[in-house]
Amino acid sequence: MTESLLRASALTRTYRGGAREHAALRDVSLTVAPGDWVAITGPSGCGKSTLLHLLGGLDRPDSGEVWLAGSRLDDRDESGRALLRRRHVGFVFQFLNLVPTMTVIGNVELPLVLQGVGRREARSRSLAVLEELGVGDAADSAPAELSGGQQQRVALARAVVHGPDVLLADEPTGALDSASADVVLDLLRRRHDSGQSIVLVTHDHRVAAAADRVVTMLDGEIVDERDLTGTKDRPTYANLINLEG
Amino acid sequence: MSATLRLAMSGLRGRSKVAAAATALVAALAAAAVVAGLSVQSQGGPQVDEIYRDSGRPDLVVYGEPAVLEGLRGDAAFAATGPVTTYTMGDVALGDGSVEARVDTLPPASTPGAPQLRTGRWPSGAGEVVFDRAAAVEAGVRDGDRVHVDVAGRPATLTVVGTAVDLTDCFYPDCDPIRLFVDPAGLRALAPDAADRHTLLIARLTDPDAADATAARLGSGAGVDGVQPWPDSRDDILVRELIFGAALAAFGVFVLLAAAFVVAGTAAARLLARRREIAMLQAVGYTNRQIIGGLLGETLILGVAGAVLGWAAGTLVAPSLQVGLSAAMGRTGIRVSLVSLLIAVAFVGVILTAATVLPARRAARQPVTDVLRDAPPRSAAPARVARLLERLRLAPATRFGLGSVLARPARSALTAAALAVAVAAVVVAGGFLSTMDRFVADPAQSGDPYDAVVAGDGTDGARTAAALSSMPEVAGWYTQTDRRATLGDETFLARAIGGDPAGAGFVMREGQPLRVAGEAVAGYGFLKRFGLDVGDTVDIHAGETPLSLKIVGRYSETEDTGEVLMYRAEMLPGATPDAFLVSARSGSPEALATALRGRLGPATTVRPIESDPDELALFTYSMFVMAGLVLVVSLANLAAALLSGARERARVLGVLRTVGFTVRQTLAQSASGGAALGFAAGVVGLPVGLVLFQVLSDQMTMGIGAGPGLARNPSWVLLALTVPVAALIGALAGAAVTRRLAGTPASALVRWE
Repeated sequence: MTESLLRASALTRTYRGGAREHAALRDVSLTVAPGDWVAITGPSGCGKSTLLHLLGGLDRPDSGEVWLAGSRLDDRDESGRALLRRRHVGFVFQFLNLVPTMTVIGNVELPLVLQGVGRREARSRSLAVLEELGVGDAADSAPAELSGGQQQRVALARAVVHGPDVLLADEPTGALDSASADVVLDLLRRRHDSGQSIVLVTHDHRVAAAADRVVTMLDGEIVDERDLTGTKDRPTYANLINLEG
Repeated sequence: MSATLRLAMSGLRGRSKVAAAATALVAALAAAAVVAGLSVQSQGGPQVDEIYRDSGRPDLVVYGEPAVLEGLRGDAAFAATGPVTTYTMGDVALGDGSVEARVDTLPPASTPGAPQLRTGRWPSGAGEVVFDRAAAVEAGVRDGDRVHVDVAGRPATLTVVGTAVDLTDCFYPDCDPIRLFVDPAGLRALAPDAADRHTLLIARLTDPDAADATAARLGSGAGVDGVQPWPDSRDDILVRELIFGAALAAFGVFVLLAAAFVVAGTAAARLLARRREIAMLQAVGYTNRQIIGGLLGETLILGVAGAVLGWAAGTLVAPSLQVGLSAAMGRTGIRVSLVSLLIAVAFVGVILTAATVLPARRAARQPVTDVLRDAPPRSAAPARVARLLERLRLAPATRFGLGSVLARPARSALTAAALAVAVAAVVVAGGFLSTMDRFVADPAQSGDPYDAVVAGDGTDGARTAAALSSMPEVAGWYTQTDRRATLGDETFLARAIGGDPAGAGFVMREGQPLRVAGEAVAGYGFLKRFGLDVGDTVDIHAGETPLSLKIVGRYSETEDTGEVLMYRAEMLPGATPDAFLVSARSGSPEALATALRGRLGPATTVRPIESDPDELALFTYSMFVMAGLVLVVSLANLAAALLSGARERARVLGVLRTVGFTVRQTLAQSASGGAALGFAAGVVGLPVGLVLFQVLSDQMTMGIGAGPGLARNPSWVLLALTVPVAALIGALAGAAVTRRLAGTPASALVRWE
């Protein structure tokens, strides 16, 4: 059995607003092995993003455990989780990913600088990743000077520049037009092909179909999980559902 | 209800109560300070003029021989006079020391210059006295107390039966002698020897504006020892009110300036937060003018409410801020002035309008489509700022903190400006306090370079001079003989100086000290009043004696608003010194006074020099309160600006946390931004404060006749600490306001709306 990179067991998370309570996650367990690409999908409010945040240590569950790269994540304080995240995790969100007061290169080299990598090395590694993602020319631009697709590529560059064990992406193509979304998806696929583990939250079945495994959630629970690695020619997940339906 | 008013009211309803109260409070503070300052400055004059009228308009006090004064009663310039009044000079024990006193017989109540009874009753026999009201308040003397008076070495104990205000000179402690009033039998008992009794005449003039000219004419007459015109006394009475009121009003302007920056910054932040709402209003048909009008109306409603509250507070507080007059006349009642209300509302209204309209215009001009699709504001995060910060190679938290400040240059500038005003206010207050300390610690700065006074009356001048010269405790001494003098048709105080004035330690601001007969040194007020310069020659009459004097220097003098001319006593032959002014070799003025009493005998009146710490304490306290108010307003604004900035950046903070920012780094970035604002405020506020202080203090010292350049900068410690402390305060404020956000889970931050 392959050792897990990321393991969540029996996670529950309830949000409280005054007298109202909303159970965002109910007894959710998930394991991600090194090199896995897991897509989490489901309707709005089903708990996808909450699960992703717990996996990345952005929040703590009410109960259950999260283990990342052999270390327990959920029992650490904010700073402890940040230090673990700094080394092992890269995050991409749907929009407003970049720090507007930093240049593109400044954004990308941030994880390396935080890890104590020297300025010169951080710059050269960041430039290399930006070149790889096709936005090397924009290194000295401010984020506001880039298109949405370019910004998302820069966000992706920042998420992978330090070689994290796992890339966590929350609707990374959700705010992009289809051409830009294809570019981002292609970049994710290439990173995965080179061994990057990815956990991706998406509404889009076409994006989910790029993953090896698709987890479907509904009302805070995992209601379906299927492995697409054996699917012939990787048809889109949407088509797959239609075929099965 | 008009669309504009509807918008203003809806904006008010949508505001947080705390933010609305803060805007109103800032306006109230500014209005209160301005109203109190103007009130203190302006209330004294009417109050003094009222008692001048109640006293039968004593335009002129003439001192001289009884027969001469009797003859003057028919002078054509006089509308009415009191009787020629007999008085004697003595000393009265007051607190730990004694003070010079003029003991008058009571003139009839209805005559010009009759003293105004404030408490008790008039004396009905020997052994009773009515005490100088100002001195009584200052020293805590009450009706029924017994006071010890010494006239020409004859001690007497009198019972205080009342207190009264007298307008023949300005009030104690600015002026002495203090005035005591006894009945004729009482005076004869105190001064049985006719040589110890003198006379004065108080007159109401047909033309009060001719007081100075009349004083000049009469002052040079035979048998006249001196003339005191009312305008001189009035100026001296009001000098403290003018200084204190000016300082209060100046600090009111500081608060107002800080308020302007606070309101502008708050308006800018609030409009940014409401940009989507504004775009929606534009989409439904509101014009830019209506939107600006609505936003302005919202601010003005709060501002006017605050200004009215501030006006009320300033009006209530003003009577307790009177420093000189209150001692003599008691606290004035509350004076409600609709003019000052209008001034306060207009002042605050104009400032708030300017502070709101500029950001409102900017907000109304944002492209509606950009706003509705949530495009970032076009002014945000210019690329050059980001590139500049990259080059500085700062730690990530510092880089982000500075970037956040620089990304909103207008708002950051307003926040820093409000704090800079506070820094400047602190520097100005520090300067004033330092200058006050200097004047207290070194009486030579105000023209009194001595430690103790030996009264000249009733002493053998030669014997006193010989004794002083032989005492090891005495470092030096000089004598002074005052005469009202005339130049042209104006009068002033001329002072004949004997002994060693050059070594006395007068503070020379220009030219050289007084050394030989024929030379003179003058106060700034004298030179200014007569349009003279050092090097000029003046022909004056000191009493009856004509003198031609070359002004060789200007010295620091505050008495008679600096309108004093000093010359060598040799030019006034035969004149008895009024006093010997003695400097101690070491030790306190009190120790010197004790030594002098021991050497010169109990019959000689000796007084150590005194400062007036009580009134200084009120002045100091007020300065601190005003500077503190500006500081509190500015710090509250800094905290609010940093907090709203942090909230706007909450999502970006969340992104940084996903990258690996720790809680400490989250705090550090905000502290960096706050420190940058504090540093900028310190760097701007410090020199601005120093320049303002120089301008204000020069105005003040020129106003009291001491001339410019007397102010002393705040201590080097304060100056050296200003910028780092401002930066530190900014950093602490930044860290404090972000504490809550720093403790918020990153998942909540990345979802922040």
